[in-house]
Amino acid sequence: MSDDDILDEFIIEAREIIDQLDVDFVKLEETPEDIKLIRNIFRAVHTLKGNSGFFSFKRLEKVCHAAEAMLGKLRDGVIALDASKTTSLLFTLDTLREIIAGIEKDQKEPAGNDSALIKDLLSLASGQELTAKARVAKTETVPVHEEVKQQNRETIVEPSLPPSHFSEAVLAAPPNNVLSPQRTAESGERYSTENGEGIHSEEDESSKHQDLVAPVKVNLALLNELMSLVSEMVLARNRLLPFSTEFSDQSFSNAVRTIDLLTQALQERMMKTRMQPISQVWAKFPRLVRDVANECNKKVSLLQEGTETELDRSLLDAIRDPLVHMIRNSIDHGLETPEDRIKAGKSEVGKLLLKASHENGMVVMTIADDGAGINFESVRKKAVSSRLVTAQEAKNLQDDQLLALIFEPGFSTKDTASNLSGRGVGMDVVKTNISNIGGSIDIESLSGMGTTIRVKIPLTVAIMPALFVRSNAEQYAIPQNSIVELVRLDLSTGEKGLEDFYGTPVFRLRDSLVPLLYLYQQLEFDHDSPEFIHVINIVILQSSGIRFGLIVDEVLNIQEIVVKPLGPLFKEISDFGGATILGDGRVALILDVDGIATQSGLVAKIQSRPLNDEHVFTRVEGEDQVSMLLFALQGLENLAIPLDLVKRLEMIAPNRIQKNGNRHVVQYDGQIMELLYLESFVSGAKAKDWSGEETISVIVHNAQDVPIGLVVSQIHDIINTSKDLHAAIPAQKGLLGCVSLGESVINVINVDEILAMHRMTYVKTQYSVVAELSETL
Amino acid sequence: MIAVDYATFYLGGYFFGVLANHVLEVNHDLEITNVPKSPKTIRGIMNLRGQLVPAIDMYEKLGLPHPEEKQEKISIILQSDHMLLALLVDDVGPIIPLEEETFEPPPNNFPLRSRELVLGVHKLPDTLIIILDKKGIVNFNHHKNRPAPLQIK
Repeated sequence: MSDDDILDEFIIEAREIIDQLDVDFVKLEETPEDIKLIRNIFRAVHTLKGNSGFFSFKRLEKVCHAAEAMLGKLRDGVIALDASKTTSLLFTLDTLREIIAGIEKDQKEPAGNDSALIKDLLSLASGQELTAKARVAKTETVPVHEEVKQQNRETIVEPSLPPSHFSEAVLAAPPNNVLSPQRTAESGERYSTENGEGIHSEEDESSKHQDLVAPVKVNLALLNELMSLVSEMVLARNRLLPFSTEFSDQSFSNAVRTIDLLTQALQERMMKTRMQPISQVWAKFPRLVRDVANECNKKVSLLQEGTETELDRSLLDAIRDPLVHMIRNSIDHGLETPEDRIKAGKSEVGKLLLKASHENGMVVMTIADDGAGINFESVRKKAVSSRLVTAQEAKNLQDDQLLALIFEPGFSTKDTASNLSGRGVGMDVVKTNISNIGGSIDIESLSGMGTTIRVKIPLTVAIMPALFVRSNAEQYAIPQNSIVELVRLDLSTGEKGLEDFYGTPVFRLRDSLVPLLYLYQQLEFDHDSPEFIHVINIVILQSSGIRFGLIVDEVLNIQEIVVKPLGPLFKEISDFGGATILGDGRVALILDVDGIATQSGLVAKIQSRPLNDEHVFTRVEGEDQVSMLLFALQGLENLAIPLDLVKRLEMIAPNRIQKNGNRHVVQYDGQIMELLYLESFVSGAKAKDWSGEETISVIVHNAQDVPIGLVVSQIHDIINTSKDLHAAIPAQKGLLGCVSLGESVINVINVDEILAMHRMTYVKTQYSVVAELSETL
Repeated sequence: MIAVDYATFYLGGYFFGVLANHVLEVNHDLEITNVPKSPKTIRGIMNLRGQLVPAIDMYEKLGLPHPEEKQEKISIILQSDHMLLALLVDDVGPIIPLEEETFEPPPNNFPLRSRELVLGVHKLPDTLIIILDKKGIVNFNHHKNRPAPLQIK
């Protein structure tokens, strides 16, 4: 073992000790009489001191020695633990971490002066409170630290003072040396993330800490290779099994049986190597909660349940940051100050519960607080001011819809970002992180009772459920977490088929329009498309903020898959997220839903032209603005109808139109809708021959709850124009007047007049008469 | 003279060789999954004991005229820096030790495209072995253009 290796060992062990001490100190604050715990802590600090002495790291040794002196007094019952002592001890850990980080970087101790800290520890140990004199001594450290910082601008030494001492330091220190509170908080945070990398064996009973056989550290790449080999072995075993029944050779089937059992055992153990208890991440949280609570002046007790719950280690890393963010949120936004809690009749200490458990092959984590709950009114206001919804929409939103808005990008209820939570990233990032690993998140809140966030994540990312579909002769896997639902359209039974919206096929799913993609087109297959497809299979997917349907030839089944990367040769093809090996050894490609949505241009299309009714019809309008639907008739462009008068837009196939006497009608929404050919009612429009059209554009207008279809040649767009309407003089048939839009003039149709004219035709029952009549009108 | 071992294979009636120590193994009848939108030189991807290996269409790679239905069943697994490649070929030949003295550089009228792939030829008494360069096979930077046909003789 080289010197470097020994040093590495030292650093790893020191980190383990410090991480464990973090937990122990906070625990000790709760149970100061736990003599066993104090002894453990003492022993750990002593070990660290001994190791430091071996490498002659003087700073480490001195700081440990001072801490040891105080711990010794605590152990012997000479002094009692209080908040200021705990704070000093935790600050000691921070200093130790700093030094160790410096050692890791430069293989030698970073420069620095710990005399103030040591003095504090010693005076606390000797039973004195931190006197004014001691405090003055501390203020001297600020310039010293500053100097250190300047010398080692590149090293990460940026000392922070414990929060409780901080204000005194600021008061006495010269202004240019003032450490901003933000900096203190930042460095505090950095420790928590940096040390997240430390590996340490976790034991409930910390007294066992030293008696344990040290775990062997194995290269992760090697472990992954082993994992993949074992997966292959399982597949090979599966191919072997049928033979044992085929041959009646007893010893052969015995051998196969043994291999079967061994493989299974191997697979189980292998999976276990990747699984780690969630306490690996949670162990940092008592300290985090304590620090955040101190900064917010709140009292919080953290309860942890299910710390032994295991999940894949790559997932542990992925959930750390989201959890930290949610815990901060809970303390900063959720829990009230002690005074407010007492006023509300609660105990002054807020409760924060972290719970983990296995549920249907998923890990469910709960972060619950008994705080004030989410203020729905401020969510509503914030949603409007962040332009997520209009004021009108906000009024009608239900509580659960408001909660969903919290996960929208750009949403934050606090106006000014505090140091703790709300640093520009919000719950949307938390949600994205969690969905990236195939998880989901939901939130519940009861006013005055608290907020509960539930996070569901899979046990492992290595294996995930996927839906298999067929396009042409090939099978493709679609990760299940992006699938919303499956739709099967049987056109032969007269179900509504696909429609067309600006050249994009769309499908009406309940109340919204879903744009569609053909998988075979997307993959550039030469599909020998059958003359007429009777059954259409649509997989509704959610990705990159849009919802779309993928049309596949056949929906097969759901299987657990192991994702393998496709490798460098295929990196330019964004349609696939990888491949998986099927049970029979064949390879199936995994569709990358995001990639397909982006690649197809659908994302850009939808963003430039929102197609769902709720978006189209609730454009934000200015005070004196009005929304109009722009359309054209044969020979007459730039016509508009006020959007308020439009219920829906429809594309109707001519073969659906039926005659009822002189009237043209279609079945619509369970009613009979009459069609009005607008060209007959608006002066300037020419009659159009509709027989050759594939579909007819219809604007549906509700006249006293009876739908009327206004047939137009083309529907263009929705525009916002000023409300100033220039009346047409002399009056034009069917026109109300005109408005200006940029450089063009838009003619607004007079729907009432048109309907009146239409009713006249009932009386006369002759279209030709209408023309004469209207001339005289 | 030191002889170096070459793994040989047949494709489109020609006889090719690659350095034997670049070859991991030879397989047959591995099923290929087509990867849509991939370059023509890549037939698809296959499973070699849990590893995904791209299958290279050597007809396309070399620009050889190919039969109506390509039916290469044999794949030569080539070990490259960080990945494996499967060369689809008609048949494998023996491993032949070759000496420097039978080697000739590619003729001057070789098209540039092939020059990148072909190091030269070994003239043996009864046959001609075209020696391929692994680096050229692994290079996919030009894969978008169809290579000029390989001209021999």
